[in-house]
Amino acid sequence: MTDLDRAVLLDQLLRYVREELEAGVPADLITPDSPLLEMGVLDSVRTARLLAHIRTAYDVRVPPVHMTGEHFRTPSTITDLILLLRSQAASL
Amino acid sequence: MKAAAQEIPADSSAAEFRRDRWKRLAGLGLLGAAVPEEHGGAGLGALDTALLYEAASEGGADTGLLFAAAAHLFACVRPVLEFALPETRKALLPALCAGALVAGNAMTEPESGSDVSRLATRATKVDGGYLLDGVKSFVSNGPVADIYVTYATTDPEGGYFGSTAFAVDRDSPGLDAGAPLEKSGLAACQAGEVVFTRCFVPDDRMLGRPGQGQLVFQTSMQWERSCLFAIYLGQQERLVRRCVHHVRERRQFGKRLADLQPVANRMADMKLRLESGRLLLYRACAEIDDGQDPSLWVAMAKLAVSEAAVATALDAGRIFGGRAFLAEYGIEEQVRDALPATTFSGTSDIQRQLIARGMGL
Repeated sequence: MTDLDRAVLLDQLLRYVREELEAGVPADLITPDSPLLEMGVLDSVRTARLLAHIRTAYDVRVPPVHMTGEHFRTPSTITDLILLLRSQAASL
Repeated sequence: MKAAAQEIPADSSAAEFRRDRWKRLAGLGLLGAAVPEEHGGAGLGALDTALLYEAASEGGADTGLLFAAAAHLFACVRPVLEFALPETRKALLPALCAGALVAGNAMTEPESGSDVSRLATRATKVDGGYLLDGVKSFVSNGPVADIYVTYATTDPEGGYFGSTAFAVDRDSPGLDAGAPLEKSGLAACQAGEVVFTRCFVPDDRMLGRPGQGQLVFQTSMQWERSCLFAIYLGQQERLVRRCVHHVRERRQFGKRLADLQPVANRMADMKLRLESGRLLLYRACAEIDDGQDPSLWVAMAKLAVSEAAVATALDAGRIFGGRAFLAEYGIEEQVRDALPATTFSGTSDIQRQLIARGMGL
């Protein structure tokens, strides 16, 4: 598993949320620190889609212990979570 | 199991809850089937658990009674097993598996059926725990349960992470369990309202972490939508067998019903539905056991088996003709027990949405 640059990953994630998640939110309102939960972007359906995307695009399965609001609050925190889980998987 | 199931008195017309019957279910391993042996369960995986419920149903155990056991195990015991603190697991699981405790699943609300993301029930953080306020309806085992697995909004702005799961004792001050609802089917499983009024739940009865309510619920639904519906495989198996017997015996137009092509075609469709649903359900259980994301297979299995149960019960009604309307033949009871299957655990249209999502639509 090659390491991903944080900036590249954040960029990819922002593009996914803006273009693929179809939350009905103008793209320019989605920034690294946008509160995705408060904005209603991550409801149950879109959270499930995001998790599926993270699984297929980054080969990362988010275990239950990491399924908390703090990790999914903003695109930045989600990026950090993906990097954390990838580094944990790589060190196994 | 099939033989043992015949020993459980069905007696569903008398819908009262009996502890001795509940203990019999525990004795057959049904209440703790999918719980590790160290916690008092049988240590089975999803597929073996489904086979156990299917066999109990095929053997003739009452559908409503098995539904009560399944609601207890899949919607309550499994969340405690997977999400409770170790000491809470230790305190509750042996009694839940042994039938000493009955658990009720308190998710649905009067204004929140399919849309489980907007729970009006609130949990307010206080010193040492939470205060619950709200009304839950269609609580399976509600009137008789000793413990409830329930879900409440903890962060209205929290989106997917806005609710939290709890295991609440029946005797908690502020908890009021209502009388049994008058339902049209599954009589042996009582269901009712549960009202929380400033009902205190200690922190060690939280399931998972704050905000993980949806995760807890969805995890339990993977089990319920697969393993519980094995009951309806057993029910269909029984119905198909009865229909085979009936069409070989009864004669009309100088022939056995079995020799009338429309009847034989209908029977073929019943068999096809049963076996298609069975394969999907086994596949869904295998996905759970393999640790894969089972969502797509579980949704397809739930949809196929529940719709098959309704269609096949109605087809049995057509095959038995006038006798299907007589209570003594039991066909009308099978129809009434099958009808809610396309609604509870997520309606057929919700399953179609989950399938569409699984397809990447």
